Amino acid sequence: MDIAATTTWPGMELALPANDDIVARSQAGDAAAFRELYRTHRPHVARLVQRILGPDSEVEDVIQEAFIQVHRSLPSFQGTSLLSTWIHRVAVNVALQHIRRRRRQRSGPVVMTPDPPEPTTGDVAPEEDVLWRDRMRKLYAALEGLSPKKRAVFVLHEIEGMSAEEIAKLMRAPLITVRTRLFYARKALYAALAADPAFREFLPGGDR
Amino acid sequence: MSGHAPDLRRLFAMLDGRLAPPEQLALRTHLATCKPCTDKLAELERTRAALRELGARMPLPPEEEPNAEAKLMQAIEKRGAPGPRVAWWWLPATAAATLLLALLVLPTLRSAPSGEAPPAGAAGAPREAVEGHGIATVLALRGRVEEGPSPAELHPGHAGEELAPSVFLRTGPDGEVRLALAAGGEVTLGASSSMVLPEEIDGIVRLEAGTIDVVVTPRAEGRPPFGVETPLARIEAIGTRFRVVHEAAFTSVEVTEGKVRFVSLRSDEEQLVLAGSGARADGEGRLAAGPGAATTQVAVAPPPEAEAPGAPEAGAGPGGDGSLDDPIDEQIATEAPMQVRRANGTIDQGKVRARVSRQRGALQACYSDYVMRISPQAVEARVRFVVLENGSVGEIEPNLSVDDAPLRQCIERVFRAIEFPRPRGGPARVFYPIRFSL
Repeated sequence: MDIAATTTWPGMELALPANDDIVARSQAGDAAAFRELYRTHRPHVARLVQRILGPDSEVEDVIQEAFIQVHRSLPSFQGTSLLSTWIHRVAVNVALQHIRRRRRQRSGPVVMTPDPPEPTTGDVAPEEDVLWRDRMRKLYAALEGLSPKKRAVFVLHEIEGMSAEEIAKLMRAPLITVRTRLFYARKALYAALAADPAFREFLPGGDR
Repeated sequence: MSGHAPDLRRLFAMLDGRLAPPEQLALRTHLATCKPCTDKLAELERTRAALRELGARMPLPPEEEPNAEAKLMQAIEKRGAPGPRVAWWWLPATAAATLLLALLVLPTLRSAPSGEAPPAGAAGAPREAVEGHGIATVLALRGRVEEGPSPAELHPGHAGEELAPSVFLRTGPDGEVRLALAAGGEVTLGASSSMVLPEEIDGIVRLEAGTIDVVVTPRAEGRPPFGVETPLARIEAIGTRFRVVHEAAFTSVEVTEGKVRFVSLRSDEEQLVLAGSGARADGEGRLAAGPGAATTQVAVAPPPEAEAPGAPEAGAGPGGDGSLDDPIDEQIATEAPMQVRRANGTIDQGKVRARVSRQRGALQACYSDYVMRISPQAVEARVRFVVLENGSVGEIEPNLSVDDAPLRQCIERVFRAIEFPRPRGGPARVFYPIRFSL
């Protein structure tokens, strides 16, 4: 099964008939309108932030900060991007800023990451569960070696299944820049993961 | 069997289904005789499948806490309603008034002993910014000053505004902003500079590029010293007045009063810098004594083949450390200070910079193309050109640190397409160094 193909990436505009109205009312300081905007977009923002940050005890704070920034920046929203794309862009930027801050706080190379939360599937055997958590931890430990922008591009493409074009739109970067970042992020990450027994033994056909 | 290293770019393109049918056919034919390539492709496929599976098993996003919405709305209320923002054109007209108003407030703030600056916290303990209070207050500003959570989400700053922890600030070529820090002391961010405010009251100010002037009073015992950090160095103040300049190749400090501890982040080497002297750290971690570049405001190391000394009009430029984490921009990590030479005419350097900045995406694309073709190494381009009286580009010479004709031609094309402001008194010569990095 092609999992990425079944992933519903909501980066493109949602069916929000009253979008303009919500934006205008939110811009005018209508709290009810902003609540509506928050409720509509929170699930996607939460997913995005969580995927980019990985295991991080401050995911909830970053989500909140993202919406605070959305609120703060709403007056500058001109409607040149789709609202959801714009909100996701703000969320990605806030998440990247959090990563930079997190890195500044840490001294020396990062080798530890907190335990990831429980995997989504509840019916996974415990040993397998441990393996998945281990792989996830290793993935995010490897991601620490990338610059925040490369990390974001890698996660959006490889984990979320977004195309380079969608990422370029989301991050407001030239397509070639996204492709370049993606290439070097992949080159580094694939090599690191392929060398890891937890990933090598992952699939039939892999080195055992 | 072929002994060559597999071409990863083509293999990834194949993996993504981005190869045109003829290319795909050619690659498949090649794969039949190249075992290392076949093995590598299989490895990439497995790793990608592993990543996708991992993606599908990622934990669900955190459930919204029951009171998350209420907390958000509360936080927003505390920070104030969005309100209409000031448009750029409004600023120059009222800059003088804003400055005057802020200056009236200044003496009060200055007279407050640093230890009592709100919000107070126990000496020595990490102090969190109290909700509703900022980490700094904008005392005065002029020209273009933007602030926001990240370089991509900026809005105009206002005098009197309280700034939250970790806010990013950027000034334009005509901009300057003076801040009172909640921990006590003042910093002034010079033109074409950018900084990140501390995360907590006693935290470190991060200078990303350009110039910062600092006036701090001695901190109470047990509290950490005030500090400025750049990608290359950290400067810890010991009751002092000093200026820090950070550009691509170095960070320098010039101390006017008191002393600072100057630490290279690359080598951990450190030295004390006393009033009347300066120091400088380069990208290799070397420290050198001597006055910083601050006095001249020309904060760039002259290129090896620097032209004969003329009368450079220079300004600190928006720069970056060239590091991968540089939050300032994408790939043009350094748009280093520009020197506009008076050949015959003169030209508004702020406008020149603005016109070039508008083409940032095109310049990024030139570099990205180079990276994909050749290598991900950083490239320095020293572009010398002449702006003719009608604003078009005459003679142009992009001098690159790498020998690559397509990149040189691409940069030249971008510059030639720019319509510059008309110089006064005849054609003007411009030197515009740019540093690209991934």
